[in-house]
Amino acid sequence: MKKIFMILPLILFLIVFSNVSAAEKKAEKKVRKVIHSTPPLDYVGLENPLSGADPKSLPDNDPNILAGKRLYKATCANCHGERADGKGPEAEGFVTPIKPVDMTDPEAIAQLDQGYVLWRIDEGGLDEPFYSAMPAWKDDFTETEKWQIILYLYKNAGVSPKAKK
Amino acid sequence: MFKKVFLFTLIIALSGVIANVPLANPQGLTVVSKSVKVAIPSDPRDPVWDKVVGITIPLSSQIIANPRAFALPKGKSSVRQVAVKSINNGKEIAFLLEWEDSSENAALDNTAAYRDAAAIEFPVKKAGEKETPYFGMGHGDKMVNIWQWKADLEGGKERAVPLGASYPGEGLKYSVDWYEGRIYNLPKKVRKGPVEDLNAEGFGTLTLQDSQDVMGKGLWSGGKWRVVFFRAITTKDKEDAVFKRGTTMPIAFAIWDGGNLEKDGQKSISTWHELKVE
Repeated sequence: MKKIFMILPLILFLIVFSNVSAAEKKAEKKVRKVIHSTPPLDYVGLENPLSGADPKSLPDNDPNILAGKRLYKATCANCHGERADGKGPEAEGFVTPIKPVDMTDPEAIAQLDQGYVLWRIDEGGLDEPFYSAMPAWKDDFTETEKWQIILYLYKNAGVSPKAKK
Repeated sequence: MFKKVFLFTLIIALSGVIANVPLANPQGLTVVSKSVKVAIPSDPRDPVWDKVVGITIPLSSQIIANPRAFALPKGKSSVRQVAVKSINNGKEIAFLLEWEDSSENAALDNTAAYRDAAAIEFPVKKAGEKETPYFGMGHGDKMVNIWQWKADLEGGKERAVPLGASYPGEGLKYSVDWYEGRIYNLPKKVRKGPVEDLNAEGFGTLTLQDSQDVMGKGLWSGGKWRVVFFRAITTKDKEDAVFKRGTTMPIAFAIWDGGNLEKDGQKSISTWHELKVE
């Protein structure tokens, strides 16, 4: 009888905690489908001028991949993380309204073509509907550098750009 | 004996449950401005603050606009979090910010010196306006009200430094807005304390208000800054943040570490969180 008094709260804890976790997982599952914004016409259907191949299939020592990697590590990795998981050393303070994107997420850049990603790099999150901490890199990189970064983004995240219809 | 053990275990169990419930919501973390029935203390050491539950806000380097924190010698800003408490008594509202800083940088006695500083940001919404300004200094015609405390203005030094100037006796009458390429007149009023009441509508548009309504006091001790900001809940200034009891509004924070050569845009910042005024 006395043991019940000690075990009961523990059971209560486990029941409530498991319900909280289940509810969180359910909520997470519900918002899995991400609706991306429509890019301006200037960016629609743009192809990467540096390579027509799937960036994921490019070798590690490809010159564009190496250049993209260097630029990514110096800038993007601070928020998006070296592993592209959105957990870089500067990510913690940028929590609203959008956290730094986890690019390994199948709902993220894998759902986008390279022109869309170029738009996001150019303009950042300073305008609607984003209002995020993503900087506008338009004037910081050359066009070649931006395409190199895009190749490395896909390569690093281990995902392919959205296939053309 | 077993009743005590039961109660103790129950408390631990419930604490565990509460601790696992996510506290952050899509609006970020919530700073609660607790309703109190005492005069608002201007001293950050006042025991009133000990009874107030605070919240820790995570900060990151300002890397959005130039000059970015990447250009600092360490490649990033120093301060990673700020603890925030708030109280209001219906007439005044106050905020206590606490953060770790191993060095006190409170003198701008030469052009190579950098100050410690802190700021709180609120949106200024026109009647009927729903859109919240961009957290980074506002945007377009979406204005923010910024309260900036500067360590070098503590200890009565604010009286020696004209409003809008950085050094004692500088006596500036106007300032140059390099971003917009214009000269504007500085407010004629003198400082009341170490906090400046400012507005912005985007990066590079920071402007002093004619009406300086915010007071404050900061103390550095044991590797930590404790800074109080306070203001009347309501003011006549249309460019001031509006606080209403029983409502919520966005709030954001910034900290500068002079020891890390931080100034202007090179600082630690948060995105919008939520202020709930009890």
